[in-house]
Order: sequence, then C-alpha cells, then structure tokens
Amino acid sequence: MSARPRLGIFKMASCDGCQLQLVGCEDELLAVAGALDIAFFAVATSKKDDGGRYDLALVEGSVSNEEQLAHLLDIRARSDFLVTIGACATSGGIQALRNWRDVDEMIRVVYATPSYIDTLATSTPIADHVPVDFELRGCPIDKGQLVELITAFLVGRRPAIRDESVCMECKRAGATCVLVAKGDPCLGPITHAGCGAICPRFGRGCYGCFGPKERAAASALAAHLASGGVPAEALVRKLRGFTAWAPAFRDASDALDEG
Amino acid sequence: MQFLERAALDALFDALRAEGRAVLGPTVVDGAIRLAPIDGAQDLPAGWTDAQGPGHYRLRRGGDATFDGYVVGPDSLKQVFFPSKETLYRAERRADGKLGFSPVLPDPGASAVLGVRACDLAAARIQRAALEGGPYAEPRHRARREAALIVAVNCTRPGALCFCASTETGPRVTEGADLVLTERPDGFLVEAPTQAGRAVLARLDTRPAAADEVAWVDDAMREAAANMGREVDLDGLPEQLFGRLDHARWKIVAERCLACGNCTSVCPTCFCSTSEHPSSIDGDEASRVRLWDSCFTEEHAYIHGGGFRPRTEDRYRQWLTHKVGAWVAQFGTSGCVGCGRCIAWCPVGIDLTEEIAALRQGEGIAALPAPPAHACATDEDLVPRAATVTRVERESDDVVTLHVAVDEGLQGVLPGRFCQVSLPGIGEVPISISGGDGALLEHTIRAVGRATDALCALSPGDAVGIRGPYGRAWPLEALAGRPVVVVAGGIGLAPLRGALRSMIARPDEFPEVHLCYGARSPADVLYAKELLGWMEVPTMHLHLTVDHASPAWLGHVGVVTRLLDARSVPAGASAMICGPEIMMRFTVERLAQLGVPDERTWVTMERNMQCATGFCGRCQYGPYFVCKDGPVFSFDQIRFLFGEEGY
Amino acid sequence: MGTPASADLIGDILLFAGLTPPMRAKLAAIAAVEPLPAGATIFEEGDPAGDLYVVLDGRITLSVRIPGEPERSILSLREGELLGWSALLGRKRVATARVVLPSQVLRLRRSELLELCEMDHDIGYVIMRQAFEEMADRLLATRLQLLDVFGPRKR
Ligand SMILES: Cc1cc2nc3c(=O)[nH]c(=O)nc-3n(C[C@H](O)[C@H](O)[C@H](O)COP(=O)(O)OP(=O)(O)OC[C@H]3O[C@@H](n4cnc5c(N)ncnc54)[C@H](O)[C@@H]3O)c2cc1C
Ligand code: SF4
Ligand code: SF4
Ligand code: FES
Repeated sequence: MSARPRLGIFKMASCDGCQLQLVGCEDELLAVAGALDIAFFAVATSKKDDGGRYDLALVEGSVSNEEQLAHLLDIRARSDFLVTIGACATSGGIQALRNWRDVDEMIRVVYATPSYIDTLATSTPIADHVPVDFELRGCPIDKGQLVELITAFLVGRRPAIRDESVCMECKRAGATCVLVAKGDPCLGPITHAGCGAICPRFGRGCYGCFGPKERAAASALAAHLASGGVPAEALVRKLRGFTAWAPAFRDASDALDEG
Repeated sequence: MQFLERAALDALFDALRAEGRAVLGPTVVDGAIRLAPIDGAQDLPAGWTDAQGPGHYRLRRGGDATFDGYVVGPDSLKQVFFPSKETLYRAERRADGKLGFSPVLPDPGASAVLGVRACDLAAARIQRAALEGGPYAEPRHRARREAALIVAVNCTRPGALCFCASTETGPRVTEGADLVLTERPDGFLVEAPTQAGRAVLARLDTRPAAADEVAWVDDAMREAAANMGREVDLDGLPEQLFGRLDHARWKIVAERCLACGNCTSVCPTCFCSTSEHPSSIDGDEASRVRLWDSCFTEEHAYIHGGGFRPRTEDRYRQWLTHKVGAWVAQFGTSGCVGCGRCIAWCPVGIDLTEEIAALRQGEGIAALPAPPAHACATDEDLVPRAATVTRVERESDDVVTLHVAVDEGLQGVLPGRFCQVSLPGIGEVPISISGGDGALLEHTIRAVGRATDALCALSPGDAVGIRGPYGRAWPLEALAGRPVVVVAGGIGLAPLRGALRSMIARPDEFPEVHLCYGARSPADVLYAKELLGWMEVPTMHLHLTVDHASPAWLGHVGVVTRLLDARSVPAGASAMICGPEIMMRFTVERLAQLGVPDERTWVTMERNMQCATGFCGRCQYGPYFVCKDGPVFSFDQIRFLFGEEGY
Repeated sequence: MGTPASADLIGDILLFAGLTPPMRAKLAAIAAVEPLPAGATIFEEGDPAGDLYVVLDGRITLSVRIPGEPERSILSLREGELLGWSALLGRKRVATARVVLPSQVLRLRRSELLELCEMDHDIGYVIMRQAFEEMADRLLATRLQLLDVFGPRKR
C-alpha cells in the first residue's frame, strides 16, 4: 500500500470507553498506527481535523444534539467507509433511556441551570441519520473485534464478526449455560456475539450489551423467562440496558411494559 | 465378562496412565457434569444426581456414592474429536512473492475417554461417517479418534430426557468401545470388546463374572430400555417430514425458537462448521480457522445477494428435516441418537420428541431420492496448493477470467467441477472451472463481495491458493448422441464453457448443440470473441439475448426463456442449465413444455460452501450435499425440492 | 402498402392456428404483408392506437424512453409474435417499435379488425385468446426481467 489509508476517530454523545479500547490495544495499536495514517483521534492526539477525506471513519456515540448531527453529516460526506463503534453509536446507548422520558422534565430535575443544556429530545443511533457501512457492537466494544475490523479493512476481507447469538460463542468456549443450569435470566440467545461470552463464562447471565442479533426473538425469550417466574419489570429492565433503543429490544420491552 | 471391585477403580486410572494416556472423564464443573481431564476416581461425579427437563438442568448431591444418578451433560465425544475451534493451516507470503501453505495437523497424544454412553458412541459413528466416510476423509478427526481409548458405560438408569431405546442406539453399548463397564452396587462388570481394551483389562485385578452377574446385566439393560424418559417414532419420518414442509407446526415452533444454535452445539452428531481467515495487519501471515457453526445462523445459508433461510421456521425446519429426515438418505441412519441434550440445553425447552410427534399428525408423504454413492475416502487436509496467475482477461465491467498455473498440477479437471480459490487473509470461495486442464486452469469470476473483489483485482504473477477440483462434472457421456440445448444466464456461462468446448471438439457425438445465453446487457456478454468464433462452427447454434440494450443493439432483447422454442430445442434434446436459480426454475418449466424430460435436464446448484468436501454441512440441499453430490444434478434428482422456500 | 395476405399465409401463423378456413379468409381480407427495412420505426411511444401486427420474420424491438437516460430496448419480437396488441384495447402505444433486422410483418387494420371481432365473436374469441396467451408469456418474462435475476450490481 503506497499512501497509508487515513483513519479518523470521531465521537458524538458517549463516554469515550470505546475509543479507549483502541488506546488499550497497545501492541496492536503500534501495528495499526504503522499501517494507517491516524489523521484524527480526539481522545489520544492533539491533531485537529484538517477537513480532508477519510478512508476509514470510526464514529463513537449517539446523536443527541443538533451540533452532533451537523458534525456527523460532515464526517459522512468526507468518509469512504464509516463504521459505528459501540452500543451508543449503533443503538443509542444507555442515554437512549431518555427516549422513554420527558427530556425537559429530566433536565429540570438534574441540572441546576437547565438553560445551559442543549439537547435533542431523543438519543438515536448513527444509522438513523446517515448510511453506515459496518457496525461494531458492544459496550464497550471488544478490542479483538476492533483490531479485526481494522485488519480486515486493510487486508480487504469481510471482518470475521459474526452476527450470531452469544450462545454460539458460549458453547464453543465450553461454558456451562447459566440459563439452563442455574436459571439465571440470560440475554445470550438473542444477543449479538462478539464479547466471547464473557459474562456466562464467569457464571452470570448476559446483559445484552452487544445488542440484538439478527432475528432476535426477544419476546419469545421474555415469555419463557416470565413463565419461569421472572417478573415483567425485571425483564423490562434487562432489555432496557445498554442497547434499549435497538428495535428488537425496544419492541419487546414496550410490549412487556404495556402488560 | 470380568468383575472389578468398586474400590479398584483408581487402578483403572493407573492402568490408563501406564499406557501413557491422558484421561478425560465426567466431572462436575460449574454446576454441570462436563467432560474434562481428570486425575482419578475422586474426580468422578459419584453421588451426584442430575435433574433434567426441557430447558432445565440441575445437579444435586446426595444419595449413594454411585455413578447411576446422572446421565449425559452438555459434552460428548464431539468435543474430543472435533474441537469447536481449530486452525487448519497457516499461510505466508514468501519473499519471492509465492504463497506457502502449511497444514496444521494435531498430534494427539494417546488418550482415554471415560464414562462414554451408548448414545454417544452411536453419535461418534455418525460423525465419523460425515467426516471420514464420504469421498474425503478429514485427517484431523481421524487422528484424534484413533488416539482415544473409549471406556464406555452401560446406562442402568436412563434420564428423563433419554430416548435411545427408540433410536436403537442404547442403552447397551454395542459399538465403538474398548472397555464397557456396567455398574453394580458392589463394583463393575467389565467387558473388553477390543484388543486395546483387553490390554488395559489385563492390567487390572479382576475376576471372571459369575453367570448370574452376566444375566443381571441383560436384565438391567432390558429394564433400562423400558424406563426411558421419552420416546419417539422414527419410522417413515423422512418421508413424512419432507411431505409436510408446509405443516402448521413449523410456524408454531418458530414462535418459541430463538434461533440461538444451542441445540446444534450440544448435539453430538451435528457437524456443521464455518471458517475464518485471520491474518496479520499487513496480511503476510494468515491462517484458516474452522469453528462450529449451526444451521440456525443466518450465515449458514448465505450466498451473495441474500440467504436461503431468513425465517426462524426455515431454520428449525432445515434442522429437523436434516437431523431425522435427510440424514437417513445421506448416512443410512437418523442423525438423532436419543441423548436428549437438545431438549435440556434449549434455553426455551423446545422438545424435539414433542415436535416430531406433532409433525407426525398430518398428511403428506414424499419419497426422498437417494444421493449417489461415493467411492470412499481419500485424505483431504483442506490445505490449498500454491498457484500463480499467468494471465488475466477482462470479460466485462465486473467479470474477469484468471488463468492459473498450479505448481504441482491437478487431477480430474473437468467441466462442471469447481475449485476452492483462496487468498490468505481474505477468504476462499468456490469457483467453477471455465476451461483449462490439469496444469493451467481458467476461472471466470464476478466481483460480488470481498473475496471475489480481491480475486478480480489480481494481476499476472500474483499468487493464489487452489484446492480441488471438487464435485460432479457435466455428464458428457450421457449427453452424447442427442441434440443438446445449453441454457446459460449471466456468469452461469462459465461452468458451461468447458463443456461447450468439449462438445464442439466432438462433432460426431454432439452433432447439434444450441447455446441459449442471456446476459444483463451487451456489455455483460462473456467470452464475446469466443462466441463469435462459435458462430462459424457448423454444429453450434448460438442464440443470444440481453435483458436490455440500447436501440443500436441488433440482437435479441428479453429474458433467456424467450429464446426457447422449437427451433432452439429440437425434438429429443437433452439440456444443461446454469444461471441464477430463478432463471433455472422458469427454464426447466419451459423445457418441459417443449418435451425435454427431467431426467435429461441437467442443472448446477449453488449453496454456501466452506469445505467442498462434505465436512462443513453448509451446502445441504435435502438429501444432498451440493459440493460432493453436485453441483451438477439431473433435474429429476432435485425436482421435489427445487424452488422450495427455505432450502 | 404491402401485398394482400392469403388465407394460406394466415393458416401458417401459429397465433391463428384455431381459425377455420372461412375465418382465415375473413382475416386475410383485412390484412396485408409488409416488408420493412432495418432501421424503420413502426410506431412510437405515445402514438394513438393503430394497427396490429404479427411478425412473419426478422426482428423488431420495443424500446422505452426513460427520462434522463438513453432510450432502452426492453424486448425483441420475432417470427410468430404479436406486435402492438394495445391496438385491441384502443390504447396509446406504450413503446416504440423499431425494425432491427429486415423484417416482414402481417398488418391487420385496426378498425376493420375490431369490427370483424365484434361481428364474428368466434373469430374475436380466437384472436383475443391468442393475444391473451401471448400477454401471459410476456408478463412472465417481464417479471423475470424485473427480478433482475443476475443479482444486484455492486455499489
Ligand atoms: C459450485 C459453485 C461454483 C461457483 N462458480 C462460480 C464462478 O465460476 N464464477 C463466479 O464468479 N462465482 C462462482 N460461484 C459463486 C462464488 O462462489 C461467490 O460469488 C463467492 O463465494 C462470493 O464470495 P465473496 O466473498 O466475494 O462475497 P461475499 O458476499 O462477501 O460472501 C461472503 C462469503 O459467503 C459465501 N458465499 C457468498 N456467495 C456465495 C455463493 N454464491 N456460493 C457459495 N458461497 C457463497 C462465501 O463463503 C463467501 O466468502 C460459485 C459458487 C458455487 C457454490
Ligand atoms: S437431536 Fe437432540 S436428542 Fe438427538 S442426538 Fe442430537 S442432541 Fe441428542
Ligand atoms: S430449538 Fe432451542 S436451542 Fe435450538 S435454536 Fe431454537 S431456541 Fe435455540
Ligand atoms: S459440506 Fe462443506 S461445502 Fe459441502
């Protein structure tokens, strides 16, 4: 590769946790830095966005105000391959919980000087606003998947990021199913793989932080858990965790909410 | 039959270790009985009881310190012989630009697996048929299998989810074991059906079993068979399932099914796999990794442009119609051994015995055609050979033909067959042979995704990996002597080109050949020069059409089926078809109207492929594997399923 | 304008296979055989309803105009096929018909054809039925074309 591809890492409303995964990729990061021209990375370098084009843009965070929306449109226009990283960017994140509330009311309760707070009424995923070429799930994203994404981009392969259930990873890892063997409510069967089934491997039910897998049958799982005695409120809370605004989880939790 | 004192069980471990065997056996891990390395009898789950039900598994301690309180946990011999994730080969780009491929083959030390049940031995036999019993044998599976000594146990107390009596795979161990133990309150009755087993037995302090003890085993087995927690009727099931593809039950079960893949993961016979091509960031070092897959994932049935099984009901139906249906045609046995794992470990407790019973209630029977028999088992390690692109011809906007020289040459290069063409770190895809011979191959490739993009971007001198060829060729011998109509759509001309060249070269056998070829637009017509040449060939009749064109185009416009009439389809003709499936569907109907019978109509099928050798299960098509039984089929072989949504 | 058609010629046309000899004679009386040179335009998209044709040999393509794009040929007709069927319904021409290879057509004068069909329902039935058959075939082909069976072109 003659000219190194330009990488930009941008953020909207988020906690920086996902970008920090890249910082945390120490060894791999060196290789990445060698193979790419990291042209913009607010969290780690002081370089300013020079207004140029990006071969690969990683966008963290959800859109929760007008300024972010304008910024996003600008980035999209200047990027060839745009990847959303993390639950906030792909499904609105924890802050999407506001979508079930009256925002003005919340601002009055939380902030001393509400007029300083400029916010859209909703926190929405990037894909609601611009076309997205690939979504990297997780809260935070998984280091290994991030390196795979970048490597795949550079080498030219389809990233080995499988849209399958956490159960597939859990079973490959040889973990014992916590739902079946302990009765823990676990979202693994409906959650997108990628974390390596880390929670079940440590004996806890999956929190669904990678968001729904394709065909996530959230209502079917909820119905089963409810028949086993898990109260509806607990199920709603479970589904409205990290990726509450993702349609499969949102619809199922709304249905439970309505009784 | 011998008798071994309970207290002498540790001696068995000693005997196995004395042979240098690492011992795996049932042991309690994280609230379940798992298969794991164990050191001695103290690690065995003596006194544990499992309570199993649909979607439910709990261990309880208590009672006598015996081993009859539990049955199978989530693990089986599958974990041992067919690990969930393994590297198949490594590839590197050498300094001279060539690719080096080195197989990764396991070197399993001698091992012993303890406590294996009859159902799991039947399952191992079935997996062996899939991975070693077809046209190819997987050496990794064989190496692991051969390294293991099996110490089996007869089940005296079947669990609530067991139904091996119905599947005729238990409870008594009748195959695959080196030693068989039957537990009694005071000790174990031991049989040693193999030489290896007898060698171990010789190291143990045992006494011959008394006649009443031998008789006791028979009684215990009879009693166990009568005490199964579940039962299932497999009789005539394949025909019923395939005759009831629209049974209401599929939708009902799909309302509950999460398409999570737990059932297939724990099933001891399920063998589907997928693969990944990890690499270093510069792509110079790469490998291919195989991992367990499931027919419940979307990717399983994905091909460029969409998946064949978008709905959960399609996937559940694929699973069950394969497991207890098509399996019988493929391997001579049902794929279910009655272990109950898929019932216990389904998070929502879907019970296949219940589903089967419901599906038996209904109308509809369909005879399943038998897949062709294969000459057995040449070793196939799935490692590509290094090859070099010698020439690149641009056929159209998005199609190129690569001429590829394979360093060591290939055997069996015939039109209709295909090779697995790979680029390390990028991927491996099935591509038909569009021409060439053993030394020089031609592959015509349309750029539709990442791997094909990269292949289409190659230049002369670039290195690729090739393995194959695989699959069934066009049956030119069967076609000789009659007029032949060749119908091709788009890139579908590629696998037919070699056949057309052969037929042109043998005018006596193929006195009248009609090529009806449809392309998207004039610019998408493949092999334009060669087609022009064919217009001069007296035995060749060329009918060309495009879907749309500028008014300057003087040829036909419209879909390829419009070319089929009495002029292009002479009386008594046979047909060969390749193109998008929907085009083939309309073509066969039109040909049938024009008098070409199904058994003289040959088509090629396309399904997701990872292995091309029958190992990965991805290319399942009813009773067939497209990779080894196809890709060329006579239409009467597949008519019963052709066009059926979800297959 | 061409040479008058004979009843025998009508009998050779597959489309009219269901007609009895007297019916053929009636049809021949309103038909003419016309040779058409390559490059000729028979009618244009938007023209008012005109005569009905049957292609006897050669090749004629139908093309449509797409705003902002070059005109596109979408279907070619050959021996035995019906051209300009919308005449039977009195509609405007929905496509432009161009002769791409020297062709011969049988031309049936619209008003007389409609009159004949009205007066002799047996002829009318056979003709409408044949037209219907052909429409069904074409509809199927159009569907396949619409499905874009060669798969989406990338990007
Ligand atoms: C027997 C056979 C012969 C073929 N012959 C040719 C040929 O001569 N020329 C040609 O251009 N194409 C041919 N194909 C199709 C070709 O294999 C696919 O276009 C290719 O796999 C797409 O891979 P990709 O990575 O570029 O696309 P992506 O869409 O990125 O696919 C990702 C992965 O899905 C799988 N996949 C996707 N599409 C297919 C498919 N159609 N068939 C099987 N697996 C698929 C592959 O594993 C692929 O790597 C053939 C397919 C089969 C089964
Ligand atoms: S289908 Fe279920 S019961 Fe049958 S062998 Fe597989 S896991 Fe066991
Ligand atoms: S049957 Fe059960 S285990 Fe299998 S995919 Fe469906 S929900 Fe998952
Ligand atoms: S079984 Fe793997 S491709 Fe056919």
